[in-house]
Amino acid sequence: MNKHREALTGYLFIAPLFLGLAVLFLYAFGQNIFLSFNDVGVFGERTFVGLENFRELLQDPVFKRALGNTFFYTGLGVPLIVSISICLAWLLNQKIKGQVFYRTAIFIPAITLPAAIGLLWRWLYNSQYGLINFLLAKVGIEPRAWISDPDIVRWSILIVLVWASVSYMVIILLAGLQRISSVYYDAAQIDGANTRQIFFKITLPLLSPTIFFVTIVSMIGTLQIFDLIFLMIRADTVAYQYANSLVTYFYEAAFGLNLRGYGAAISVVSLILIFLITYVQFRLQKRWVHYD
Amino acid sequence: MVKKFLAAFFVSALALTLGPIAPSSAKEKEITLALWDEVQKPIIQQSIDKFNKKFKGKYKASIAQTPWGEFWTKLDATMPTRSTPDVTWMNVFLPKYANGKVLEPLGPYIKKDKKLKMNQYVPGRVAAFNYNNEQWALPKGMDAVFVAYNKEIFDKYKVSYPRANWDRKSLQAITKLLRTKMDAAGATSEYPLAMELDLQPSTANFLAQDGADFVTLDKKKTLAGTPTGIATFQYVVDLMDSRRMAPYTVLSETKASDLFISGKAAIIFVGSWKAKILENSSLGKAKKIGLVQQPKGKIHNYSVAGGLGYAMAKNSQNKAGAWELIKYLTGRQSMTNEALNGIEFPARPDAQRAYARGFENIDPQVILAATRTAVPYPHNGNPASLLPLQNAIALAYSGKAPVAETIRAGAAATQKLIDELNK
Amino acid sequence: MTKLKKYWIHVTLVLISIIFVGPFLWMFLTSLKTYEETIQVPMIWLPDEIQWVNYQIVNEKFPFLTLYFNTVVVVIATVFLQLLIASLAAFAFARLAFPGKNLLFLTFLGLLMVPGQIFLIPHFQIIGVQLNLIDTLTALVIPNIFSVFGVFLLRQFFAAIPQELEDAAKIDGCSSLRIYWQIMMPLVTPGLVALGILTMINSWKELLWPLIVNQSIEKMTLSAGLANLIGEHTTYHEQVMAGAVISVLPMVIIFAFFQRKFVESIAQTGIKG
Repeated sequence: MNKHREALTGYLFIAPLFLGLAVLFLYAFGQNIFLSFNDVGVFGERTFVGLENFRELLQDPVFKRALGNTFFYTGLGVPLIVSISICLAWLLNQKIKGQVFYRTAIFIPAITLPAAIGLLWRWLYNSQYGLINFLLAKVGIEPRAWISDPDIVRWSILIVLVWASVSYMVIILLAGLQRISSVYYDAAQIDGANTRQIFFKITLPLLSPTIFFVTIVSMIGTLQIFDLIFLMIRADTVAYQYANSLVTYFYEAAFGLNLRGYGAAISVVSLILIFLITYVQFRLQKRWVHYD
Repeated sequence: MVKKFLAAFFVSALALTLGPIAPSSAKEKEITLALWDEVQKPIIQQSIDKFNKKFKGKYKASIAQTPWGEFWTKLDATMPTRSTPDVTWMNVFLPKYANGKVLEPLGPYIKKDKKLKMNQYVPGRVAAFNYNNEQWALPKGMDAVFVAYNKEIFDKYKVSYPRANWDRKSLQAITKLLRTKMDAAGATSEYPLAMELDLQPSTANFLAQDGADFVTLDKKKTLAGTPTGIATFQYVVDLMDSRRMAPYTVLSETKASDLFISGKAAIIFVGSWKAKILENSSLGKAKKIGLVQQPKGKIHNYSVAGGLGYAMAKNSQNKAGAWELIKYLTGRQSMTNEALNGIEFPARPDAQRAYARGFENIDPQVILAATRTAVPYPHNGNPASLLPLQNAIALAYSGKAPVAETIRAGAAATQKLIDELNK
Repeated sequence: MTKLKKYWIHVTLVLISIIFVGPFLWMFLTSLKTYEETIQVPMIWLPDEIQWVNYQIVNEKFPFLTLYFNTVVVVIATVFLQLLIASLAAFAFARLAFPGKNLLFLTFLGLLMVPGQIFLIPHFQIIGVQLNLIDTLTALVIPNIFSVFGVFLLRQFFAAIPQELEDAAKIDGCSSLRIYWQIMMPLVTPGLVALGILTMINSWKELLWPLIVNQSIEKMTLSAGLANLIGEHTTYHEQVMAGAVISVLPMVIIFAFFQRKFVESIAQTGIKG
């Protein structure tokens, strides 16, 4: 097979992907940028407004709060998700009876639709009829308005976010743990290392590629948080504004209020931010991830 | 080989199930009706079934239900396209859709139709869907807001029931007394009063009764930011602050009707669309629910009232059928059925009498009386322009911001948007 | 491990299991109550009489069978088409030489970071309005079949196949297409399975896009259908919970059976990020 033919074949093989990406992502993104310079009416009529949308965006307190909240969910969520799921995966990897039961139990949220999780927790959190306040009352703790008190609503969302994500990340980490060859452990035991030393000196470094993967996946997930907020909190309340993330705010603006131009501007700004954060992450990974 | 076969199978299966919308080969033309209320859906389905039987071989109607929270979003997205529902529920948002040129004017259809007489509908409801000298929808029903109270709670605390001619002061006194007695009994999670956060069954009434309309009838002004308006908001906030009314947080996650039925709220302001839920509750069955008109404000005690109508999409692919469906659903037979089932107080007098027959446990006469004095729901048909004011109200109620300044600023922002629209 | 240690591990795991499973038991209990029992004060654990009828009601309100059917069709179509398109490209990037390969690859790399939601507006324009696919299952599949992530994952698997195998096939006169389909594809099966499972989970969970592009309940997936259970004017908590149970149960059963296989497959995806 000559070179030209191979090149042609190569192009043909990537053509479906390339065409799809070109239309649905590159062209689409171009359109997004174009829209962000326009004021788009409810039923599609457009007027060019230049940078007006962006100027408005930078002065919009709700956008600032959405931005702050997104960092809150990511900044606290990712470390919590990663550390808790490492511990859980380690526990589940112990050779004990009932392993299959424990694993299935912990994995259930991972295979549950986020929509169902949202509906379920909305009901658990209900200040009047919810299970959580009921149980807290039993141990003498005052009832709280978990999903309607503006001051605590972010924390309530964070708890569910961690609960649901940990379940999924545990699967990946557990798989990572099972790939670590027992040779390392045997050697350590011969050297007389204790459990803690083994965990920190052997397990963690060998698991680091998987941990990195889990970190990235949970970061992408938390930066894009939408479903839980959307389903757990009533949209026209003050609590919703205090729980808003970039994506819920984008949805509200672009599809709830039909401000497509403004929504496009939100999406452009979010993209730049998320791109920067992910880039930094990838740069930092070299410092702590060990590939064998 | 097996793999190849499987692959081929999947591809062809996909092509079959997914392929671009195949033109339906059936002779029956499909008509879609968009609505949001899950309670009304099964009853309206009965009318749709009868419609389909009547026009068998010609039209086939079906319901597309989307909950209120998503309804308008979806409608906005689909109405400009060919995938629009043919017929949709319409309410005070009408001007937005009429101005957006996505609705079919019904005037020509009405003129052509010899059998349809517009005077069979309540004139006020016909007028509500007349905008810019054009009729955009036929009226379905009309609603009203009234007050329900839990006799059990009143009896338990030995407080006398609200009287028919009560006013805002008596409301204050009754709730204060109830609060004191509830606290004495240690019932801190019970509330004397609850209201929905939606403005229609709550604050919009107070504003109208005090003469500080949320939006004036000519749709040109909001009076929410006037001293009278701010006093009204302050009245509500005071109720919440003194725990005489369920606080904003509780109302943001729990419906006032839930609080009432579970015995956590002694009095609620409630819309006629929820009458059936009261009727069917065990509280209702035990004859423990009393109904009374709203307390009088500075001027009157009238309810603000809206009502639904059926409108046709401009992009409907089957306008003749859509028109038949609209006529059928607003016809005497369909509306009598809705009235009998207690889901709607019809906007046509010849079907109204059936409404009272649907109730045994609560007194329908109070609801009927409320519809008689009701004033139109104050709205300018442009939800986006009212948003700053609504956000301000939410903020003021939540206690996150001072009442007067917040409302004044919100009203001013909304006024600016309304002025721009009217230019 | 000492006995004491094992004991503590069990205690911890039982507590954690309760945290993860408890809410679902509550969901199930609520789904068996009457509306008034769900808001009864003080709260009750068990209904007076088990209300299976809630499931019937919610099933009448929401065509769950249709929703499930739609979801299965969308998931299968997405997985199948995505695997096909991604594996073709991954094969080219791993085994073929063509000018501009690295540049193209880097461009795709950039796309990997972009959150999907920001494309909702243009996707709605292109797929919904221009292609007129509002309210179709096709609209749900299209945006998800072009997966950059899939290309990255599979490329590693293709790259790991020894060169000798390819050379031998070439000597036998195999075309690239045949090498790809008959020789390489069977060898990268673990990668395909892993990607398939991940795609399956993502497509099964997707909420925002179906919510936007499809209007009628008959064309929705389970996820979007569930979101529709919350009505503004009335919400029957027991029906909402019954709907949630219907959506959870089949997956739990499937998962309980395939737990081991599932974990093994996921293991393949974490190899090198």
